[in-house]
Amino acid sequence: MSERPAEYFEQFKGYKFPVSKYRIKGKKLSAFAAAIGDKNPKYYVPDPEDPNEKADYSGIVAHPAYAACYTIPKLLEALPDIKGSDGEPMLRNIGKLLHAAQEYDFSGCDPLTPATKKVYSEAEFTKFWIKSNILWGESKVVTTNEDKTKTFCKTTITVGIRKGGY
Amino acid sequence: MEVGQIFTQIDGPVTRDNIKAYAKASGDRNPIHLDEEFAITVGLKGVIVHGMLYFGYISRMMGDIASKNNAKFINLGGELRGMLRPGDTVITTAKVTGIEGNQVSFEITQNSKMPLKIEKDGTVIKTFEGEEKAWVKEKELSGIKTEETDEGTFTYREWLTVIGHAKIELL
Repeated sequence: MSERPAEYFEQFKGYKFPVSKYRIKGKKLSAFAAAIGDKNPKYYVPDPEDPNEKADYSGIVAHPAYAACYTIPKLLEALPDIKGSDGEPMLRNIGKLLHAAQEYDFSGCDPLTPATKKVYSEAEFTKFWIKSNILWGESKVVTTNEDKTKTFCKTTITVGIRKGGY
Repeated sequence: MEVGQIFTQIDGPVTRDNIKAYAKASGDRNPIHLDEEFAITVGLKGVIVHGMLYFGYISRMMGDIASKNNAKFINLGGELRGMLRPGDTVITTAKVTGIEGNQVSFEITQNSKMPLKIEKDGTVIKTFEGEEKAWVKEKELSGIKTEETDEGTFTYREWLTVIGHAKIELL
């Protein structure tokens, strides 16, 4: 099966992904910070020495890198379901998919704390191009609270689909 | 802070436990990061580290720079250029490229250092997983380097993993 030209993928420009919901839990925020080696008390709460005691996560904020958790997985999960006007899937082989680039913009954003409970991410494809036999697709994601009064992160995710996948 | 100033952070060697902890904390349980046999069946010669784990190291570094300079971390972007394996050491550098008003821009480069072997008097005295499992690709041969250590001549492969940019805002 031959690769489709970049023009074919223009139809997906503006495609809006289903809004994804992500639950925010203090314990997870803290574990994530520890997993990337950041034990700054702004992001991390150590486990209490007494196993009967409960840790208090209310004072921490999400590590900026935590945006990876509430943006990427749902977007990648949704890719195989996207179909063109001819009924063909946009992504023909998930094994050819690359997570190529990531950009977080926190300007004007609010800090994400455990009190937020849930965040909502809206994403859409903004650009497609072919370079070095790879189809590149850029999507913009905006993560807010439910009533959109707070924005937590504006993310740009670029995926690549290698030859054989588009 | 001044233009041209360079900050460096070294992480690792990244262990399989680090990968498992990241998988648990992030929810990304893709078997290419956790299941050796699966990773081999898809042609990876073993598990690879989550891109967002080593991208997270950059985020941590920029957060530290921001905290130490009474600044707010406002932007971070990067292209994932190379895979990282268990046992690799990660070297991240951030170079100040511009200061405009209260905003400071950085150019980010992150490299991985994969240990391969140690030789003494022409004899290999220690090999690492990267050498045993032939993880170095043909296109990466130019990244093979050596350095003299107390144990002997250490051979490793250095490769670009992320190239990016960041911005902080001084408060």
